[in-house]
Amino acid sequence: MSSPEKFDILVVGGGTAGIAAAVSAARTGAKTLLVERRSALGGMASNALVHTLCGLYLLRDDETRPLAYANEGFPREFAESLIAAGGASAPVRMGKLDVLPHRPAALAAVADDITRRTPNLTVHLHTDLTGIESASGQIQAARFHSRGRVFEVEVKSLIDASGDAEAAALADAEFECAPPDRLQRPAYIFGIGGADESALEGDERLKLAHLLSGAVTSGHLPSEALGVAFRYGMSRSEIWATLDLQADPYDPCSPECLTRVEACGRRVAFEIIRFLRSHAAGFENLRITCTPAQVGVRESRRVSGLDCLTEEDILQGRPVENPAALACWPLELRENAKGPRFRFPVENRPTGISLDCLRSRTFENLFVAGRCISCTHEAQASIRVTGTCLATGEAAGKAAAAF
Amino acid sequence: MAETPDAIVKKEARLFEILSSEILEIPPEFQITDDLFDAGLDSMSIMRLLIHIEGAFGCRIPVNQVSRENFSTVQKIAALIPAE
Repeated sequence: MSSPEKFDILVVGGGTAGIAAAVSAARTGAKTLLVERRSALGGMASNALVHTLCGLYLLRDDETRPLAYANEGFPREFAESLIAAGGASAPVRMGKLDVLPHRPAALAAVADDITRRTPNLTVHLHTDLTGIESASGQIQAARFHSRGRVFEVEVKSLIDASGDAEAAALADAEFECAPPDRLQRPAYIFGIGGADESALEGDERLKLAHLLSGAVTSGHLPSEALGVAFRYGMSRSEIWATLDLQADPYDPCSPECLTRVEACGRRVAFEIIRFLRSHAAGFENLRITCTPAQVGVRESRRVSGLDCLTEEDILQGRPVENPAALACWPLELRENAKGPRFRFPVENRPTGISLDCLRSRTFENLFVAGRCISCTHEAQASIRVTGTCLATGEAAGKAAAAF
Repeated sequence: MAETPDAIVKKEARLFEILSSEILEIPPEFQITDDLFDAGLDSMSIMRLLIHIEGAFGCRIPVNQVSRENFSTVQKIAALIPAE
């Protein structure tokens, strides 16, 4: 093994939080390495085919109020780059929320472009973190494996944007995880095409629900099919199917469980499409247009930080002095099929996330961004969305660079 | 034979119980005339609701009666369920 290269900042995980963290850190002049284990940046918003950016905009009582970004800076820049590249259209109102629908593959391409144009930033895809070296309360180095090659880097600080607090877990930093029966459930998302463009319009979506529930009752479809919901993509010719899975017993950090969940998602997706093609008017030419690189994980480990964001913080829209980022998505807990239940903050206020929620209490140079920041299980149901991940990423990147 | 007011109230109460225990997180002050879609009812929860209605009342609501309007309140859904 050659002698370890030195970086100021290592960012583990190339999801929206990791992209924001790496770009923001590198822009300060810090020599930064961003490592991603899959083939594309974007995390759940590309690899799991999550197709709307949530938590970008402040909540508003109704559509007559102006739409405003909750976090200016990188979240806004990223959303506007995505729109400019044709990878997102314009914000749409879904119930009481404003979201930005996007194309997952386009998001990954925009992330490639932004990171490639950022000086001081190196990106390694297809690279797995395998170990962390620490001494005297500091992370010192990290080891990786990629296609039969192992290498090590020395780092001044590390940002865990892995979603699963992988770096924290490998470093033996403190973390928490909700019990299996309370963890938010995963979703297998797939793209479909070939349906009539009016297939989901008006009451058609509910009639489709009637057809599918009858198919489950009669044994034509497995009970997992009851977790499916359909929604138009950026155009009426694109439909996204989101299949919420119970996956019991659920453990998003266990390969046995993930293998079972991925296989279940694939099997049920194909069964649903096969059924609709032969039983639903307007769906005769239906086909699956894309499948995810992985199931969409909503929650797993959370790093234990110097501060901890709580459910009450979100529901009260509690401000903090010098917030690192603002959380503005309601609590959207998806622990079981009895959901989603949205709980909105008082007066639709945004919540301040302190920088201490982005700092490990075990290692002083370990920062965290994205869905695994320091918060309670309930608060995680707000901060896990992409808009907030972009914001905590930017804040962690800048803070790590200043460390 | 027309349904008695008592039978309708009973049916609505049973449906409300199914909705709140199996389908949605319904706030305590929720009324049978309040909008269920505002409370979070969606196509996914309607799939499960139809199956629960079939189990509890022994009837399947026909597809031509499935609409946003007909499923907007507990009272309106109950009206789709035939008298026992």
